Amino acid sequence: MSGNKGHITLTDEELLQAYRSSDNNQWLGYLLQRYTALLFGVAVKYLKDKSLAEDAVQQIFLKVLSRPPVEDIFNFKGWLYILMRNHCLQQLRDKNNISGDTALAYLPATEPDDEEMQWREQTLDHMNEAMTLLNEEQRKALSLFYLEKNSYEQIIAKTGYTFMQVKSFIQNGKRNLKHLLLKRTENRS
Amino acid sequence: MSEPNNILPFDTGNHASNRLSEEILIAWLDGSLSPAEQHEVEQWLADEGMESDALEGLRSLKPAETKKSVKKLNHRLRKTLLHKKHSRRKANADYFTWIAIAIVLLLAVVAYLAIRKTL
Repeated sequence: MSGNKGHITLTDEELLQAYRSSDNNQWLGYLLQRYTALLFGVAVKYLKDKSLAEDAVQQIFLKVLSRPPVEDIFNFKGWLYILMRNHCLQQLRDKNNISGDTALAYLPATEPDDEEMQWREQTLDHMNEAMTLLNEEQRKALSLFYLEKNSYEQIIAKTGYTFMQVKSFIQNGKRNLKHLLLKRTENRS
Repeated sequence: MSEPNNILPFDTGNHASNRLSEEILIAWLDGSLSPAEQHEVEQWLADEGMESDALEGLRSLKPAETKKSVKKLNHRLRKTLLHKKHSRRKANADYFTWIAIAIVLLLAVVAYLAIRKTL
């Protein structure tokens, strides 16, 4: 799988197309190898165990090789991510019998659509005002990260927050900011 | 200080590519990126999705462990692909063997009938 390097410049979709037209699993191999580290990271996050994560990624590889994505999949990365995450959640369910609500908490936000993109542009003006309504930690983390372009390491050094706190303040801050801006837009319309 | 455009609570437009490469990911784990590059990678963390989950997960391991596991998984993947290729070749070989046997048997029957007719 390392001889011909031409695949490096191909997009995921082109690799999938090459696989479909040749029925050669090697193309799928190139594609999967692009995501090994990311898949492994996702599995470690959910399963909290290196060996279990390795097994989970291995199983996903086998699953994809034995049942490759069908024609109408246009976002291979998203498809693979959902496959990996669902596999991990199923393992957790089997192991701990976690409830549906807990599993729902792991679901990512949906991709933005055109309407949302339009709304984003309209709400830019209200950003600073909305920022003042966030709590201190979220405002500080968002400001240091987005406005001052600090790395997580720098934010940790400046604030004393932990890595996970920084991640959480930024993610939650973004979400709250979105809700505040949405509310403001609704009130004005 | 930049304009507040970049602070939009959404995930598009921040990333140069639509996938975080393994090379950059490992460099981030190793701590070998400049603060600006680190910041670029960490834009993924601010969103929810594959990269965010992966960075969070891998941060709990030593970079050497991650490299080892990724290498191991890629090696297994190559072995699986090779095995599948050989299995397919073997299946093809078996197919041709049966065809050859069928032709030989057919020829034998035809020869037998021809000889019997001449006698």
